[in-house]
Amino acid sequence: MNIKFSRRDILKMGAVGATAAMTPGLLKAMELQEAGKGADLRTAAERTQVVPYTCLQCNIEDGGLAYIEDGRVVKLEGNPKHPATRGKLCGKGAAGINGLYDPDRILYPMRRVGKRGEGKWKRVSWDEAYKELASRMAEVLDRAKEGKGSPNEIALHIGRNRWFGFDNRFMNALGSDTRLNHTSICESSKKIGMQPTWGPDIETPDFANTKYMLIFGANIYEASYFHNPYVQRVVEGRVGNHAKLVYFDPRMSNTAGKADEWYPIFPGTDGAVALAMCNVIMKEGLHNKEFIDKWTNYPSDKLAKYLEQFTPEWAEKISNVPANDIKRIAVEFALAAPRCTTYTYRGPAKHTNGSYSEKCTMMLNVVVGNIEQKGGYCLPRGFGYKHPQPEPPAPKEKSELAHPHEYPLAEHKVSHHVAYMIKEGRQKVSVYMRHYFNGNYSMPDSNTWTDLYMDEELIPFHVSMDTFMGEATALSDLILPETTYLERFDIENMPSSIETPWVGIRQPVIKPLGEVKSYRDIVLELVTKHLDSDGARGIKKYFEYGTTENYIKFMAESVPGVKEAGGWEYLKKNGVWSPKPVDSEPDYNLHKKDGFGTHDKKINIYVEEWAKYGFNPLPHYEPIPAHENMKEDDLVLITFKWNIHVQSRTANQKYLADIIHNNPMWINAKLAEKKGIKTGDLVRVTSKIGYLVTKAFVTEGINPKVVAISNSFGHWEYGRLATLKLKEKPEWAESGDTDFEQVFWKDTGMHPNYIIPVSTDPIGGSEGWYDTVVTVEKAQPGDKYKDYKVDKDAAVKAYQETLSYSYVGPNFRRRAPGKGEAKAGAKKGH
Amino acid sequence: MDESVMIMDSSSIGEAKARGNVYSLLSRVFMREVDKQFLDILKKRESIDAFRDHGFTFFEDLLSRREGDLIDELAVEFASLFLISPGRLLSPYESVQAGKEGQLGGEASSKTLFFYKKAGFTIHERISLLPDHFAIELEFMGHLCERGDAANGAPASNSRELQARFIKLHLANWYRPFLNRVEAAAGHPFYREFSIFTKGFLDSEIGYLESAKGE
Ligand code: SF4
Repeated sequence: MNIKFSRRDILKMGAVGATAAMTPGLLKAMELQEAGKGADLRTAAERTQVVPYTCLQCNIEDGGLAYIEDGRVVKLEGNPKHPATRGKLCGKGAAGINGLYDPDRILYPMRRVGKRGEGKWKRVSWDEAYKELASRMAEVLDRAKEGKGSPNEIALHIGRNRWFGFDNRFMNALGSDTRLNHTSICESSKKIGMQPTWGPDIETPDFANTKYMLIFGANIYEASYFHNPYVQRVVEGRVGNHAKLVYFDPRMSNTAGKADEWYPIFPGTDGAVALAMCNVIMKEGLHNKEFIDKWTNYPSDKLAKYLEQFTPEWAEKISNVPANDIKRIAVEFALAAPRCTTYTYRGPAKHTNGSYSEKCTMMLNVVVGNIEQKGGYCLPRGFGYKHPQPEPPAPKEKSELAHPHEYPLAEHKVSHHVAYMIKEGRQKVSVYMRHYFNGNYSMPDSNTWTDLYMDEELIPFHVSMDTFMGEATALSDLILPETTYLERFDIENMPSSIETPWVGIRQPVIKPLGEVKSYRDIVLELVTKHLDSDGARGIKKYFEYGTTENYIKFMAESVPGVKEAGGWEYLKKNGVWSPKPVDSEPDYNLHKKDGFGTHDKKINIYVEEWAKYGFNPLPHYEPIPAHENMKEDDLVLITFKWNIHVQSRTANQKYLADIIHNNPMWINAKLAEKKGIKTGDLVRVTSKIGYLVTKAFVTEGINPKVVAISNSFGHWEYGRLATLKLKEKPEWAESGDTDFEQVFWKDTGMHPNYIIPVSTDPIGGSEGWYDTVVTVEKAQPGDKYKDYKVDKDAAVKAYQETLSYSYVGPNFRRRAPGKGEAKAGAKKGH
Repeated sequence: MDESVMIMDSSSIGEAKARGNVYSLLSRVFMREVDKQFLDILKKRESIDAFRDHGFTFFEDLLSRREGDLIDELAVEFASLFLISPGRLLSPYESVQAGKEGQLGGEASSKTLFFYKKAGFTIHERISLLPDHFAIELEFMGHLCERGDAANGAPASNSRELQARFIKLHLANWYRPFLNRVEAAAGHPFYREFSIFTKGFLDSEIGYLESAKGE
């Protein structure tokens, strides 16, 4: 609608404006300076600053440089001084600018005003937000003091965690043990496969100097740990030493495409192949007897005997990898020793046998003795930090949600069980705070999380610290707008280069947008200004370190060598410090100094603690229960990441969405032909908890018994590009945003997690993302794209079934008679 | 007699001043939620008369509703239009609406800031908006008008030229499509009618500054 004005009209309306203009306190943005005083008339190039930071588009933590013109970031690129990154960012890293400047960001604290999930919000001041949160917390703490509750009712659930112990400080100070995380949907069983065996939770292969790479389920050219630094070194090894790359993955990723040999292995059988290879190596006498006998807790002759049961023919039957190839690869690998290495990521680990499988692949290195050798399989290089004192003691009471009694070995928690446990009433939650964790999008059986978040009895107060209106934030009560990684202080330290450890920092490269605050500032202000401003609760004393910058500075300067190099100012200027420069020669044989990080300083081929709970203490292949009785038509559904997307946070980023924006289901061409399915056809994918309707992508590049759906798409919240709701509303689509008008796609994908049931590794606590058995058929009449249906009872049954394989469960005892609960005894927490 | 009437009645008030006041009013509308203080101004008799003359209807609500409820309702509306609009495109920034980036912090944000600075203005540190926010662009126009004829001894035509240039380089790029969408998306007549009004006002401003050229 348009109206026309006369100048007289303006005079009239001007009168209203005059009152507004003359009313003191009415918000005005500008102030007048002497003419020209504020103008910076230097050229754009002269006005450009370069500020170093650490990337967090994904969790590799590469070093970057932000180019700032007139206070705005115009470009991100790699920091050449960073010893791991060496001046390169991946595509996601370069697109970080999209996350910073996305108009869909939440820039102010918001309070829900309608029903939960209704989408009605109101801006509140930080003071109001803090007051509300503090009073909710105080209610719990006061009640706990009177013995009518527990501090554990305050829960903190962190997704993309870079808190580096600050979460412990916060929660321990409150007295709550309910610190929840996302590691069980990430790589936790890899960690648990390794830690009891040699100490650290990850390896550092010397790719640049190796001659043979045997990679199991680590899509190193696209996504896995430590993608950007490692792929550079993989390429150096491939080009410089003509290193061979053999790759196991059911799906033809870019790593498979670049490999010399690719085996589309059946999901969850990596451990069997690795054990058969170990057997071949020992049988052929190609093992390193001296290393095994000196550096492990299991004698080589006993090990050889034990391994005899795992023949290549046995492994072929399980994995579909031909026995002859298993033998040949094993011999090639051993002959390249010590300049050979394995590498794994989520492929072997994200199964109910994940911890076992990880340990089996690790054994290949142990038997050839390439550990800590040039071109071999090395320990991670890193630093520890000190924290400002005093630090709060651990909470008195254990949280059952944080440490479910069925999983005593799952040190990285079993957080994907939390929704079911809260529903079971195992632990009361009164205040649920989330940070960068999109529960009802990222978890398996995601609907159960939506139900939980919608339930105001089970989650009476839901606080979101986040940057976007993601699926979980949309169901919260109070939003505390978080900074992006370009607007906050953090410390970083990842074992992503073998040449040298390093310490990196994040710092605000520009003034944070809107009123966003970093989680560290939020906690600091909440505690010192609201929850315990007078210190009477005994919490404030742990937060008297001054500013967040002080805190990070203290941590950084606690690393030996940092102060001498110029301390905090050096880090702010360079973004990173390392004791050795970029491209240094690595040091090897670190184990010869202090041994390995285990109780006896040896590699524990025999893991005592696993035996204690009835698990097999030796390298072992455990069949996946769901895969044992698969019918002819059954397939395994796996998920995967694209090289330019992470799981939940990048679908809205335009540089990336422009390239990939949806996720059709990969299906093998032969199978598709048999089923009459063509690329683009609608298919119905049915698991034991429900079905979904998606589109097919027919390809030779996948195991014929496997289908794959990327987990990066299918948002129903988050923003313009992630959902393209705008395209559904013609009145809004007449947009002045020329960039958005160029969006040529309509399909934002279908989320697979609705139908992926919970299925948990009884040792490491990992979700078995790649265990889901499905059937796939052409869509039925009436099926529409993105339809789905989940049977809630079946989803709960899947949870109960997976519990039955935990060490206290009947199925565990059936599989391992005389083991489990009877021997170890069930320990129950709060 | 109250201030606004006094100003309106005074023959000494220049047109530039009145225009500046309209810019101030509109800037306030789009800058943040209606609060008690702003509501009081909107509810003045003279304001209501002016709104009525312009065919607004929203003031009926102003007069009949409980203040607290109305402020809350308008705050929810403001949030859903301008603060949390995932999936929609009402971000009140020139960089988003008209910039080639379609993102916050685009070139328009530098260029508007540069314009303000050259004209002798800065943005308060406490302001959490980027320089190309709709409200700030409107406020800047208001300041230029207000400074108008006498400021810094510059001839009036200089100031009007600056105003014309700013509108042409910035506001004109986006106010129509942006306000059309606000009009379409608004639930409460307050933002719908102010969008229509603002469009009409800026249309007339372009005409006025065009015709004033060379005076
Ligand atoms: S791999 Fe890419 S997204 Fe991840 S930290 Fe490195 S540059 Fe950033």
